Amino acid sequence: MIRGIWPLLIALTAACLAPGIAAAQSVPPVPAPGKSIADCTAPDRYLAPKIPLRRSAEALRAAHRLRVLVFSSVRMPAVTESVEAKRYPATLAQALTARFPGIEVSLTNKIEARAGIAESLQGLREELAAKPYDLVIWQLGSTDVLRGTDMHLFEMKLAGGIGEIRSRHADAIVMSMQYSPRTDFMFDAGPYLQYLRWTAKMEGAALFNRYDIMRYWVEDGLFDLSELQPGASIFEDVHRCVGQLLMRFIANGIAAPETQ
Amino acid sequence: MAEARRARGDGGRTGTVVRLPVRPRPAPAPRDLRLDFFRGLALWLIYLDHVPSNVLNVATLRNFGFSDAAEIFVFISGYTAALVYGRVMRERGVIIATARVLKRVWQLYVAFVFLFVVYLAQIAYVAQRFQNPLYAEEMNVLRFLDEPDVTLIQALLLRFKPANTDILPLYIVLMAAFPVVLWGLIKRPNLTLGVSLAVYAVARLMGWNFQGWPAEHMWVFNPLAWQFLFVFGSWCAIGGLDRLEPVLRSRIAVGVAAAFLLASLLVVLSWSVPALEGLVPDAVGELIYPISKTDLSLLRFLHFLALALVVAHFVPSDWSLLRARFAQPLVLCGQHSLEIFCLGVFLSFGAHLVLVEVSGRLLTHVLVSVGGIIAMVALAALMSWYQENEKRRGPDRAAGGSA
Repeated sequence: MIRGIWPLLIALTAACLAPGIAAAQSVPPVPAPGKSIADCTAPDRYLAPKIPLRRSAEALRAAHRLRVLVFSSVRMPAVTESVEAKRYPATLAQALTARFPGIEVSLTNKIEARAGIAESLQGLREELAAKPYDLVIWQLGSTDVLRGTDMHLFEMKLAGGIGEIRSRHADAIVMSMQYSPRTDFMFDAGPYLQYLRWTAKMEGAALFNRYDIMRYWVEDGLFDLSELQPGASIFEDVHRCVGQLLMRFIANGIAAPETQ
Repeated sequence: MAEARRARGDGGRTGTVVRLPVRPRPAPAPRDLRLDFFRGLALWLIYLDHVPSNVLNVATLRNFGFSDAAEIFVFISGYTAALVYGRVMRERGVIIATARVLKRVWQLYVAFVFLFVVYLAQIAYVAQRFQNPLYAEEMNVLRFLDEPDVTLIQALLLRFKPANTDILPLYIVLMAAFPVVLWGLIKRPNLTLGVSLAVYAVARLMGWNFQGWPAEHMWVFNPLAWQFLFVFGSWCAIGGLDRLEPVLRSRIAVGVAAAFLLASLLVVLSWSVPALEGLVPDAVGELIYPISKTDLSLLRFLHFLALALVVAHFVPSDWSLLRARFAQPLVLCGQHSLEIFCLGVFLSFGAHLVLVEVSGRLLTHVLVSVGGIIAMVALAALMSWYQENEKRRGPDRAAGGSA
């Protein structure tokens, strides 16, 4: 009888000690105040679009210009201009200008407030009808994950939006939502990401997977996104990094052999 | 965490349980330990899948084929429900059996409400303490706590479901309808299965699902679709399995099932492992995508059938390893599925907290996962020990079985 108890006892002790051992082993990731752009990394697989950006390459070659639209659909709009200057579109505009000297880069930044994918698509359509673009970056998903939008609706509208962008002779990049380690037990982004991946692939849009990239940062200790009260610069650092990597993603898509 | 600690702390005394015969019943047929074993396995996998971004997730079933632990859980739950309450219905009549089933529904409902309270506590903590400007949107959503009247009522109506507990409301609805289904299965098994299949087909074709809350939410597990797997499990227990015996014995059927499992393994791997991308032509993906979990896609159902067929073919019900020491933890967990499921959800919240609060390193992932499973086994062992004790003291106190 006694012999039977021992393995269980040992296992239980181990279970009780587990959190302690985990705590002792852990090294808190170094917070990164004022990250420089050079620190900004992500594995190559996140930075190589599966769909070449033909229209953008053509615009660069033929017209020496690149007209970009960043269309984000967020629930809470970052209303003030000072906040807007810290979001990734601002970094992206600077980075693209630096990356393509001699090219006239114009970036339009539109935010559809409190928009799920249906409202976002509506706004996107209006914007595309108003002005021509070479490259459209459609950022979406957050609101839908939070609301739990019906999957079929999500897929249908996503396909519709990508089709609309392409029918206007622009390259389409779909950008996934943020990764939020603190709240991901409440909102399951998984199914939406899968739909983003597949629908983008099938409808001919490149996918800039911000979610996976941010998750990679957290797992690699580049950023600590779960700190309860992080330093003031976290917002800026993350957005600057996203803008920088997005520029590299676009440059890779333009340089793809199929566009030459 | 208190409950987990208690389970671990008292666990030492439970060591003796391991040697006791498992749940002796006055039943004519011995309990099929495969049911407990695989339901225990499903519970472990569900726990691992519920810890967000757990590294060990890669080893769970969903990464090797179309279906996952949810199918195993629902099928076996249907099977055992029919075993337990079917006997009651035959021996003591429809009314007593219905009363027993409804008592079980009530237990499930209370379990759901308990988990909802735990979930609210965690959200309240995060909403109060977490101030990261990056996540203004997410935090804004947490303000639903500002309208407790609406949130609480919607939760009590099973329309607002905390993350990871979705399978409980499904289970509640399935069990609430079970007396009628069981009566049908006993009287006209094939007709009842046919009706269930028809409901599945119509729901899928028409896009019917239960409405959730907030308004855009639908149920994550569509009861109108998933009922088919549950009823199919019950049908198997009520004698359907004997009818399927030739199929289970057939080498051709097993060969086809194994080939299907292999093909789905390749498809799923080619989607998730970057190195294997291109292994399966895109056309295949375009043809079969999306594989809906909410509506129990036919591919998921077939994958589960293939898996069950192969397992049933190669694992006989009297397989000696099922009684071996290493199988005991799984069997124990499978025998107390409701409690272990709830503990699993509860622990997954705790595990998530450890991963974001203490350390997100690989070792912590492993420790948190293993620790959670040990806690689940300890609670299951404790409950078995307690039940045995109660039974020995007075047979009148041994209430109906778990299903």
